[in-house]
Amino acid sequence: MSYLIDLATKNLFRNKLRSFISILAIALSVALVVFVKGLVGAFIDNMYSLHIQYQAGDIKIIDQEYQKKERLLSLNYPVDGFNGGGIKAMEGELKRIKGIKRVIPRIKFGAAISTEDEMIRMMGWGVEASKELEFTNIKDKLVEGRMVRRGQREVVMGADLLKKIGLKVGDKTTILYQTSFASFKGSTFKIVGKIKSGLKLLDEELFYLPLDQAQKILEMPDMATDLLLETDNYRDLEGVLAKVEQLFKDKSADQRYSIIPWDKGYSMIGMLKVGEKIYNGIYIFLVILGAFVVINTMIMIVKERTKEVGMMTALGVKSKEILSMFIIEGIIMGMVGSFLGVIVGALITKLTAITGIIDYSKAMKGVSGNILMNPIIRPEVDLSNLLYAFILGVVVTAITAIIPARKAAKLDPTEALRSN
Amino acid sequence: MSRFKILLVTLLTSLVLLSNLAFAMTAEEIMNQVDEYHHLKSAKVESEMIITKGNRKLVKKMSSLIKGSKLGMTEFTNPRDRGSKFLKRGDDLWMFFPDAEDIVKISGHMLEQGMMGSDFSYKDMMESAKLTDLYDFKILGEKEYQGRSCYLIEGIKKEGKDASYYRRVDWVDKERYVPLKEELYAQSGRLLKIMETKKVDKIDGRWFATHQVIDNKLKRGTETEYRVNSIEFDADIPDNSFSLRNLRR
Repeated sequence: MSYLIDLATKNLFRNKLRSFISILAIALSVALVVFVKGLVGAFIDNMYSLHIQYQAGDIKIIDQEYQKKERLLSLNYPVDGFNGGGIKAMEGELKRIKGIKRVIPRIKFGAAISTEDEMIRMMGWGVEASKELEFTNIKDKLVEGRMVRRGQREVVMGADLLKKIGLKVGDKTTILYQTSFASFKGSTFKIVGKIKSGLKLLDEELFYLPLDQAQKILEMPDMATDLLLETDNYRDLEGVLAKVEQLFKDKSADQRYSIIPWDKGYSMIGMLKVGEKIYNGIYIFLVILGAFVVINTMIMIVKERTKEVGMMTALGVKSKEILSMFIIEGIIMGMVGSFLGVIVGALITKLTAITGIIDYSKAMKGVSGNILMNPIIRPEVDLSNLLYAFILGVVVTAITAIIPARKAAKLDPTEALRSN
Repeated sequence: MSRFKILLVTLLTSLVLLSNLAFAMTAEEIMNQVDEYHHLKSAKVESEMIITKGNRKLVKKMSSLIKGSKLGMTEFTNPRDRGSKFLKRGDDLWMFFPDAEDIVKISGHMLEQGMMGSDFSYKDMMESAKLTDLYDFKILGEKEYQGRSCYLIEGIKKEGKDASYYRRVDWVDKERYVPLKEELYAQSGRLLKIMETKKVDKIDGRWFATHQVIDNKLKRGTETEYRVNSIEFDADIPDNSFSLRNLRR
């Protein structure tokens, strides 16, 4: 066997340019796969994580009526606990379930600020500051000031929103809203922080205030509009989800509330998951493209060495060994090419990630704030991606080498010897 | 025919004709009378709004001062809204809230939205300009409504005027000159609101609707009632009642 490997290696050196081009083709395909997989992976992971942090939690609990008219931001269908017992008690019960790490309440409501010439509409999020800082990446996005504090009449706003209303950190502003009893009111808040996140939702559409203040001004004591649950592992919700559903059933609250896992009930996530599968197909296709060069090379090789093959067969070399020899040639090209490709791919990926070159900010300007996507995409360099690309390169090349190799193995020695 | 007979017939015919002319009011005249009764030159009003949303019922009580079509001040007196004040001066609306450190000024299209979750918009409340100034009216016919004989009158918004609705159809009580029913339309032809008068009282020589119900056709399951509990017409209200200082107090 080892003599075959020797032979194969020597054969590759016989036409250095041709071998080099084949290796280069594989290297480029594999590098491309590494890069694209890193890009897509980063993109999808980013969307999942933003979706979880700002929209869905790992699991979300809302009133079923609220869910039907979620866009209206109605305050008439809040989460007010089990049998009206309040969300604090509900949180206590939920935290006793193994697998639930944190319970994050939010009150979302419509509001407006009147400037000299227009009424700027926005959305208020009453939150528990410490939980938000831990659960979301908001801490990194605070470019000025600090997060709101419980018990204080303070708000944190996005940079673009502040620009719209013409105010800055340290200023006070009067915010208009409607309470849960349809009373139109205004309250004055101090702006204590500024956010710049690249997300339209955070920068332009919403402002944060302490949950207890929101509950006070909206007349919603111990209530929230959404209850988000953070679990130990968002990729494996089945067990925890079942326990939460059981708790709600025991408390006769399952008819009133919806318990929604992050990856079900949101059309965008479903589409992303299908996208992931499609991309896998694309990676394979990319490598096949590179492998075409190898097929072409191998066909040429076989044609050129027909006489040689004939001679070998005549000397007693078995057809299985001929087959192996050609396949090994293919595999060696595949391995070298894939190895180079992985290195080049990793380098390029790392470079684009560090420089943050891929920036969709301008393209996202018109997109709704409901699409949570970080416009600067930093592709990830993952060991599993590198391994995947390497193995893909070698396997595809080996398989594509089979066809010309079999042709060579099947050659009739007498015909082969006679050929030109 | 003898000359005498011809004279008699001519006299009788002209009498009939003349009498018809004398009793046939134009649409404008009818609406002028409506305005006379309805348009408040100045008044002090105690009223309440009852908003029904599904099975929730919310009551808002208000004290209002009105002077002409440019000045109006309303203060909410029910517990949940107590202390909230709204001041209208010309085209501007100023608002005072106990929980705000500053008064808020709003203008323009914000006024078209439902006040306090009701189906009366701020504009509806504050629109105390005369209907005849805002609309061109014509008589469509006569109809009965709630057992009372009414003129059916259509009004189209005058160009350049700032009225809340493009077209309105009023059932005006012939005897009392109070609209018993109103259909309010957008320029697209879409029916926006229906107002029905449930009670009419004679106060200080005028007939005035003291209980009205509005059905907002754009929102399902809601209904707003408006009741006037007391009203003093032609009250003497000094201008400085409508000052920003008074708003802040």
